[in-house]
Amino acid sequence: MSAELLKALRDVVGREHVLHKPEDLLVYELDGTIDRSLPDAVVFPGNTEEVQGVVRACNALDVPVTPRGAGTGLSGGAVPTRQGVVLATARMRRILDVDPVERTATVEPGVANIRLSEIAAEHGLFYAPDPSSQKACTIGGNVAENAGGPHCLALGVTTNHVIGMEVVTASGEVEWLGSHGPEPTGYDLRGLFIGSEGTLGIATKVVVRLVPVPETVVTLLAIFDDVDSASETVSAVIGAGLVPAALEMMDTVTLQAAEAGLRCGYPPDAGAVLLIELDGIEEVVRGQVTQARAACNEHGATEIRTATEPAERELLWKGRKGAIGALGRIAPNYYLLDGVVPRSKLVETMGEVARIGEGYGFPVANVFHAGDGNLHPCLLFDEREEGATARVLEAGAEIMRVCVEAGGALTGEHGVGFEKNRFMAWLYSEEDLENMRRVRGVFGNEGAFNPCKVLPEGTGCGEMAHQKGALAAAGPDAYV
Amino acid sequence: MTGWPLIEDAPDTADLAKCVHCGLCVNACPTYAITGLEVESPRGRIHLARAVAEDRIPLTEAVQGHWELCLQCRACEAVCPSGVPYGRIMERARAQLDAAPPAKGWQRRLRRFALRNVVARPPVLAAMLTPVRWFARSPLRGLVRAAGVLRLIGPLGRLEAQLGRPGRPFRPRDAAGEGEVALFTGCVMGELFGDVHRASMRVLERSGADVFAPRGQGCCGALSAHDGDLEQARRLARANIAAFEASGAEAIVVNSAGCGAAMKEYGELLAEDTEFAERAEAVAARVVDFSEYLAGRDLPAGRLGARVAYQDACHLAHAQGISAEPRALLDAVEGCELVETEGADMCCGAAGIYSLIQPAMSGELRARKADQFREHQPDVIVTANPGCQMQYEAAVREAGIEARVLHLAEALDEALTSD
Amino acid sequence: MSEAAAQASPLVAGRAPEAVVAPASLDELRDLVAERDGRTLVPVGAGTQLALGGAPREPFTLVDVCGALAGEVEHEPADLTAVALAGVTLGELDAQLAGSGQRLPLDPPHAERATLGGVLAVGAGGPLRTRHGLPRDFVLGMTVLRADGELVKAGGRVVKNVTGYDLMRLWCGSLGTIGIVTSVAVRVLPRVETIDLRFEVRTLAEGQGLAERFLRADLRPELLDLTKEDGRWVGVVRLTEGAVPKAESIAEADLAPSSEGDYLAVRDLGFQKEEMLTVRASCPTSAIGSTAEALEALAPSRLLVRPLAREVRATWEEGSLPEGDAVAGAVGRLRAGLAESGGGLLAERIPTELRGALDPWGRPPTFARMAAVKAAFDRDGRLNAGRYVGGL
Repeated sequence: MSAELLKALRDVVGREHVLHKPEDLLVYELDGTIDRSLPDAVVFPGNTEEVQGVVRACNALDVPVTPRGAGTGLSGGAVPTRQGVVLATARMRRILDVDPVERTATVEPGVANIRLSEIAAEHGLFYAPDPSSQKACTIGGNVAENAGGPHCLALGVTTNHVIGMEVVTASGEVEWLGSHGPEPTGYDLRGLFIGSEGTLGIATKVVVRLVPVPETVVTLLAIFDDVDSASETVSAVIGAGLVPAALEMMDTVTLQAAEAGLRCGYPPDAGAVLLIELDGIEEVVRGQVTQARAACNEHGATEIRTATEPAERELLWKGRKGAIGALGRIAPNYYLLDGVVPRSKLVETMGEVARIGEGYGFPVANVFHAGDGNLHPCLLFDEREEGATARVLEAGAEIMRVCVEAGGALTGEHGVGFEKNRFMAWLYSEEDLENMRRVRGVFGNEGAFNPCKVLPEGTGCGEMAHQKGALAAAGPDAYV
Repeated sequence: MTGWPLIEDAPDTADLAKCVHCGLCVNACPTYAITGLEVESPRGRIHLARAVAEDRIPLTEAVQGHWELCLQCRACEAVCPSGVPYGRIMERARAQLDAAPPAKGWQRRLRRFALRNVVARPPVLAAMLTPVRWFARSPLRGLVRAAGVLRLIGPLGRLEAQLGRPGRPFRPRDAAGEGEVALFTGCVMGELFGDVHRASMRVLERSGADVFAPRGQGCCGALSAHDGDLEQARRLARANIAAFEASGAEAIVVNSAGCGAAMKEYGELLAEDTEFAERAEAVAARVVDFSEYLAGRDLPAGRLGARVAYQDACHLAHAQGISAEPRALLDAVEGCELVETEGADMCCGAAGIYSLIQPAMSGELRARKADQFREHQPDVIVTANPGCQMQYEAAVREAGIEARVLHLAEALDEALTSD
Repeated sequence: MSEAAAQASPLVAGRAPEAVVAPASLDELRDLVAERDGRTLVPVGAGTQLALGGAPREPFTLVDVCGALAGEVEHEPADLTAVALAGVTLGELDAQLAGSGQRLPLDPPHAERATLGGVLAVGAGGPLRTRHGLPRDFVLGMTVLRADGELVKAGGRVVKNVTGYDLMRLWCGSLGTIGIVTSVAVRVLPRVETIDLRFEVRTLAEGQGLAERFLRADLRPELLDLTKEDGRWVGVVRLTEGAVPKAESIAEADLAPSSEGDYLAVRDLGFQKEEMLTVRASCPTSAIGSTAEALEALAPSRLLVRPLAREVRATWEEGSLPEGDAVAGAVGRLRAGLAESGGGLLAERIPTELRGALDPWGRPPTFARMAAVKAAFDRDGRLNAGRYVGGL
C-alpha cells in the first residue's frame, strides 16, 4: 500500500483506526464464503463524515473500496476482490433512537440484527427479518444484501422493513434515501439501494420499522418419512389459504447434524421435518393450527409436535438456525447454495439436486425456506481429496442452472456477490444488465466501489478466479 | 510445511479445519465487543493459526498479541454451530508462544516459573498467601487503601481491589476421610476462599451427600494449560487423577468453574498418554460442578431476602454448558429476587491470571459489569468461580454500590442457615 | 385508450395531446417508442390517473397501451404468483384469481378499471395498504420498454429473489418516466373471509387510539380509514371474523356492520371527478393530527385519515375550492414541516383554476439524484416529460 493512501486514511479516521500490518489484515480477506482476497488496509470510520472522508480519499487515489459489516455474508460481498481498502462499520454500532410511537428505530450500520429486536422488546415490538446469522450480522450488511430469514414468509424481507437510510454514495456524497416513516415523493431510491450489495454506497444510518410482537405464536414440528411428503404438505398448507409466519424444511442429513450439534430434540431418524409457525390472536391461530395439522396428517406426517412456550419454540428454532453450521460436524467441508424455484417445482428440483450430488459423489443436505421455494442445498465434501473443490463448484453451478431452468432465480437472500456474477447472463440479457450499470453510474460508482460484485465485469476481477483455484488447492478450508 | 515451533502440541489441523469462518462467533466474543476488530475475534484468531500452520505467515509479535488478548472464555464455542474446539486450539496456540515467544519472553518465563513453583506447590502457595489473607482482614488495609500507595504499583493495586475478606484457608486435611462425594479443593481457592469450601461442604451435606476432600489433590492445571504450559498441566492432571482414583469417590464436586471445565477435559489433555488416557477419561466422567450435582438432589428451599444478580462464570456457562442450574437453585430460595443483567453471560475480565496480564481489556470488561450493577442495584452478586468473585469485588467498588459478592455455595449456605 | 378513458376528456393534467395513438401490438408500441421524433410520449392505461402530475412537455402524443398490452393472465395458484401484461385491469385479474380463491390485495382508486401497469406506474395504494403495503411490495419481476425502445426485465417469477438490483422498486411509482411497464409478475395471497365494520368516534385522536389498540392487540386490520362527517369521525375497519370479538372488547366504540358502499367511498375519495382538488400528505404518526388540522383549516369537502399507513387526504369539490394563495401557502408550510421526517405532500388532483398555483409534487431533497436517474434511462426526456417530480 502506498504511503500516500495510509496517510490519507489516517488523516480521516485517526492512526489507531487503520489496520495495515499483514497479520491484522488476514481475517479481512474472507467472509462466510469461498472467495478470498487480501486488502491493503482496513479502516474503521466512526461516523458519517469519516465514512465520506475514506470514500473520497480512496476515490481520489483510485483505490477500490469494499464495505464490510460482520463478514458473515454468503456470496463474497465483503471480500475485497481487487484489494484496496476494506471499510468496516464495526465502530458504528450506536442505537440513535427508538421511537415507540412511530414504531421505528434509527441505528448505525454496525448494529447487529438481533440487537434491534432486543431494544424493541421493551416496547412490545420486534424487528422482523431474521437471517440465521442474526446474532452476528449487521443491519448495514442486511441492507446491502436485502437479507431475508425464516420469518420473512409472511412479513417480508429487509426492503419491507428498512424505511430509510442515510448513505454515503460511491461517489462520496451524503444523502438520505427513504424517510423516518412516511413515504417520500419521487423515485424509490431507498428500494433501489437495498439489495445493491454494497455497490452503490454505504448506509451510515438506518431507520427500521418495528412491528408488534404477535399475541400468540405456535410452532409445529411435523415429522415425515420423506422429503416428498413434506413438500406436498407445504403445498397443502399454502393451498389451505394459510400464510404461516414461517415454513421451513430440513432433510434427514440436516436433522442428524443439527441434533448432534445442538441437541434440540429433533428426530434424527426422520426423512424430513417441517417447522410451521403460526401467529396472531389466539382465536385465529387456534383454527389455523387445526388446518395446518390436518394438512400434515393428510400427507403422511408420522408425528406432530406443538410448541407454544417461548423456551420450547426457541429450542426448535435453535436447531434450524444453527443447522447449516452444524453440518461442519458431519463433513470436513460443505458448500452452501442459495437458489429459488417456484414452490410447485420443489419436489422436482430437489430430485434434480439429489441427482447432481450423486453424480458428483457429494452427499447433499437440505435445509430451506420451503414456504417461499428458497432452497439451500449443502454439498458435503472433503477438499483434501484431489480436485474435490473444483468439482463441488461445478456441481454448485449445475444446481444453480437447474433452479434457473425451473423458472427460479440465482439467489433468494444471500446475494449474487462475486460467487454468482458470472451466472447473471443465464437470467438477464445484456440490456437487462445495462440497466444495472446505469444505476451504478447514477450513484457515481465507476467500477472501484466494491468491484466485481453483482455484475460480471470490471478490470482485475478475473484474477480472483485464479486465486480461488490456487487457494482451494492450498489450505485446509471449508466453504459455507 | 508448517510454521509451528512445537509441533507435538500444535493446534490440530482437523480442529482448525472445522471452522467454516461463518462469523457467527464474532459478537459473542468479549474482546470483539470491546475493540470491534475481527483480529480480536475467534474467527480472526483461528484464521491466524491457520495461516501459521500453512506457513503463510511466521509466528510474529502481532500474532502473539492477538492470541494473548483472548480471554479463553469460550463464549464462542457455545455459539459455534460447527463445534470448533476453540479452547483447545487456543491452548495449543499458546503452547507455541511458550515454546518460541516472539516477544515478552521473560514475562512468559516468569509466569511459568510462578505457576510451576508457587501455585502448584501447596506449601509455597500457603506461605505466600498467608500474609495476603492477614493483610486483607487487617485495619492496615483501610489505611493503605486510603493512602493509595498500592496504586503506585499497578498489579498490586489491582490485586488489592479484587480481594474480598478471605476467611481461614481450607485444605484437604480439613475434611479428610472417605465418602461418596469428593470435594475438589484446588490451589488459590483453598487458600483465599476457604469459606466457599466450608459453605459447599455444608450445602452438599444438607442435600444428603457424604462429602470429604481426598488427600494428594492439588492445582487442576487450568492456569498452566491456558497459558500454553501443557506439560505442566498434564503433570498436575496426572497427580489429581491418581488422588481421585485412590479416593474411591463416585462424584468429584468442583465449585470453581475454571477447574471443573479443565478437569472434565482431562481425557483430551492426556489423550496421547498411553498410561493415563483411559484413567483420565474415567476420572473426568466423574467430575460435576457444584450446581450440577445439586440440581439432581433434594435441597431444602432456604430463605434469602435479597435482589440477586447471578453472573455466569464463563467456564461454567460456555465450557460446561451450565447456566440454568445455578439460576434454578437460586430461584428456589424463598425471598430471592433474581435480576437478569445485560451481559450476565459475558466474561467479567478476570479470566484466571488475565486481569494481571491484560489490565486494560480486563478493566473494560469489568466496567461493563459495573455499569450493569449500577443500573440494576442488586444486593448480592452471585457467581461460581473464585477469579470472577474477585473481579466482581472490584466491579462493585467501581460501581459505587453496596452489594455483597458471594459464591453460589455461600448464597445457598446462607439461605439454608437462616432457614 | 380504453373505453372509459376515451369517453372522458383526453386532457393530461389539463393539457390536450397533439395526437392519440393506440398501437395494436407490443411490436408497434416498441417501434413507436424507438422512433425519435422529438415528441413527448404519454403512456396511458385506463386513464384513471391522467390528472396526476404536471402537464406534459409539448408536443406530446397520448399512447394508449391497453391494446398492445392485453393478454391472458398466467396464474400459478400453487406458487401464489401470477404474470400478466400491463394492460390487464385489476378487475380482470381479480376475477381470474378469485377462481382459485386468491387475490392481489391492491385497491387504488377505481381499482376495477385501473390497469396493472398504470397502478404500478402511479405506485399508490388504497385502503388495503394499511395491512398489505404498496403496489411495489407485490411485484416479483417486471418487463419494461425503455425509452430507447429496448425491452428489458428485472426480477423474476419467484416470491423471494435478490438476483441483481431491485429495479422493480425504481420503476414502480416512476409514472412511466423511465420506461413503460409491459408485463408484471406479482405475488398473490389467499382470499380470506373478512368483515367490514363501521364505528364513530368524537375526535381524530380517539380514532388513532383505536387504530393503535387494534394494531397492538395483533388484530391485523386489513384496512382502517377515518373520515370526518358532520363534526365526528367515522371509521371503517376490515377484520377477519375471528378477530371481531376481541376488537369489540377493546374498541371503546360500537362496531356496526358496514356496507360495501362505505368501503368504496373511502377507496375512491378524492378521485370521483377530474376537476377537484385532492392532496395527500404522508407524515409521521405524531404529525397526523396537526397535518389534518392544517388541511381542515382550508375547509375541504372531505377529509380522510389512514392512521396506520400514516396518510392524510383532503379533497375539495368544484364549487368549494379554496383560494389559490391560501392553498399554496398551506401546502408550502406542510411540505416544509414534513421534510424533516422525510415525508411529503402530493397534490393528486388539481382543478384547472388552481393549476398555476400548485406544484403537484414538491421538490424532494434527493432531486438531483432523481434527475440523474431520469437522465440515465431517458436522456432525451421522451417519456412523460414534464409530468413527474420537478418536471422530470
